[in-house]
Amino acid sequence: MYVGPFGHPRVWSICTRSHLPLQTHVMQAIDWFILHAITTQAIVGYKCNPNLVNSKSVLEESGRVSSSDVGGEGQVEYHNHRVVEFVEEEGMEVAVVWPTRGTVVVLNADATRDSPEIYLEVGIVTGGLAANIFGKRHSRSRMCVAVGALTKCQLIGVDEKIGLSDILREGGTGTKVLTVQMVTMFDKVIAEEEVSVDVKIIAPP
Amino acid sequence: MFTHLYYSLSPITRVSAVDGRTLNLVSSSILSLFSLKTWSQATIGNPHSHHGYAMAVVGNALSHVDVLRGVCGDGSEANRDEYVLVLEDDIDSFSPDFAADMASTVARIERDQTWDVILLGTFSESVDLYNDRRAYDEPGVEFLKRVNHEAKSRTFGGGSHAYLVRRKGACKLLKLAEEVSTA
Repeated sequence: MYVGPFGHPRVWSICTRSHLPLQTHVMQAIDWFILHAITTQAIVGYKCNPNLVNSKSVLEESGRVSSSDVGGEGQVEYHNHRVVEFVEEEGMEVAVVWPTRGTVVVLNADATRDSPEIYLEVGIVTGGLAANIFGKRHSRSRMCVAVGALTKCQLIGVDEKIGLSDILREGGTGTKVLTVQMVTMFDKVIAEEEVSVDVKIIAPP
Repeated sequence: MFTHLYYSLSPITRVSAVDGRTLNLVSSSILSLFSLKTWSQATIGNPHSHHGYAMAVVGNALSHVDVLRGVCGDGSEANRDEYVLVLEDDIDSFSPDFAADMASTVARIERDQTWDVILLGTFSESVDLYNDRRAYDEPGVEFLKRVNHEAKSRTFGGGSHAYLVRRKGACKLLKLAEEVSTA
């Protein structure tokens, strides 16, 4: 997912997989019906890894008819990468797109006159997941930016932009180092980058 | 351990499974849940064969649908994030430190408002993803192969023997299953 200019999200993926069409009704065994709903994003699902509960899957019970469907005509392959446990994506890359290092940020001395807002922009290359799946899975993750003792965070699933004007204004002018982090919903920092910006504050005309 | 159990206001509810062998597979209640648009083998015992279905599979699905209906309740907006643990009767084993693992999982998932279903155990039969158990390596697998006429594996597996489902998730799944009846 790439958060573009002024925070408007754009998406891409290294490996964009065509999406399975959403089919309704129970068209296969119930577990695959659930997997299909997850794959088509009709619901959000995870799986525990490793398993917390195991099943005999009825295979070892003599005299009992299996309730599993295996193979057969019309079957669809479901990649359950979608339902992994809560982990960051392998191969995911996060980079601050804007402000770029050394950017000059000019703010009005009168905060009410700032227009447009100075936004943080972050680019994310997913690790092989379709971008919309990635975005949904990480909708509870946060982008955070720290300037000195000030920190702002924003859920990427709510709004993909963070206004910087207020925290850049604190502490006056000069070069300031921004620490930008991607933080999972479990407070794990999965990417961090620092950029420096030169802050200038101009007096109202 | 579970403080959010919802089903019928009872902490534990046993739901009798549907015996697929006794089903009338052409009843309206079943037709309303299963896609039979391509049903060309109606005179054969299993009208769902196009989908690789067996009567036991249909019975199993209906059993879970019953559970989902109980969890969804009246479909109202209240308590839609509450969830239940669904266990089939063929649970074989739990993780070595299940209580701690489950407590940890519950602590984590309660911070996530997005999920509808969490599969507590899955298996895969052709590709070993995330240390999934290969069912085809298990004793008794020959029986399964014979029943299904081929050794073709079920790619990427599945499993419905243990899962958490939120009330809102149960309602979504039911809606998906039942929508086709009016299509």
